[in-house]
Amino acid sequence: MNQIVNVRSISLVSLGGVLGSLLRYTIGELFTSSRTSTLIANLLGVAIATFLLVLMQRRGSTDQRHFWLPGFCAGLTTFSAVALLTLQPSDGGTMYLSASVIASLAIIAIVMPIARKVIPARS
Amino acid sequence: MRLAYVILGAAIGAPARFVIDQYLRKFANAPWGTFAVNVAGSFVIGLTWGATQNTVALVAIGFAGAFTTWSTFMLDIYLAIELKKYRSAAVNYIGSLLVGLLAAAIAMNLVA
Repeated sequence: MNQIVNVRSISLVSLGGVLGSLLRYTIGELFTSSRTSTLIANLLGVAIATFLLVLMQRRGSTDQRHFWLPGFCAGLTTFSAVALLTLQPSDGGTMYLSASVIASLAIIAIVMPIARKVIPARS
Repeated sequence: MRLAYVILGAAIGAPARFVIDQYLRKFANAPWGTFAVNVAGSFVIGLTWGATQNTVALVAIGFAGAFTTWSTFMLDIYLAIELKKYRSAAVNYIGSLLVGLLAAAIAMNLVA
């Protein structure tokens, strides 16, 4: 194994991934519609990931980055459920997919400049 | 009990995604790792169509949910647009959704 993928980073990614997935599962329990809960988990995850991406680039350690980004945020968000919910035989699949994409990119476009402003780069 | 299945599935899915992504990064700068896990995970979740609650918790919510990622996918596209790499952004966007949806549709048809 090389130095990038070691037991330590895999453990941190697993821990973060499990915690993110548990939050996604909890959000799922709060709503009757899977489309609504998946959209909320994905948009929340995109917002957190955008902020943390800047924070980790400028302040974070490798361990913290592994826990939060490929761990927590990637665990909280999901691509596969979006695919399934788009295809499920009920109306509005295309609308659902479009809303997920547009809202996600809009959130990144809002959060990214704010994060870059409030988290100064180390000089 | 469903909670335990979600935890188990995610504890396999998240590190599997990470290892595949890190491995594929050695060969290309393009986000092939995210593409690969999102397509494979979409196929897996399609197989759970109509499955029992525990299978859904383990395989769909736990494994496929943690194995695939929406935040990385969207951030990759945004950052590519920011760098004016419009072609890369478009290829990633259209390719991931097209192949991902196709993979899920094939799997759903296999179990239907």
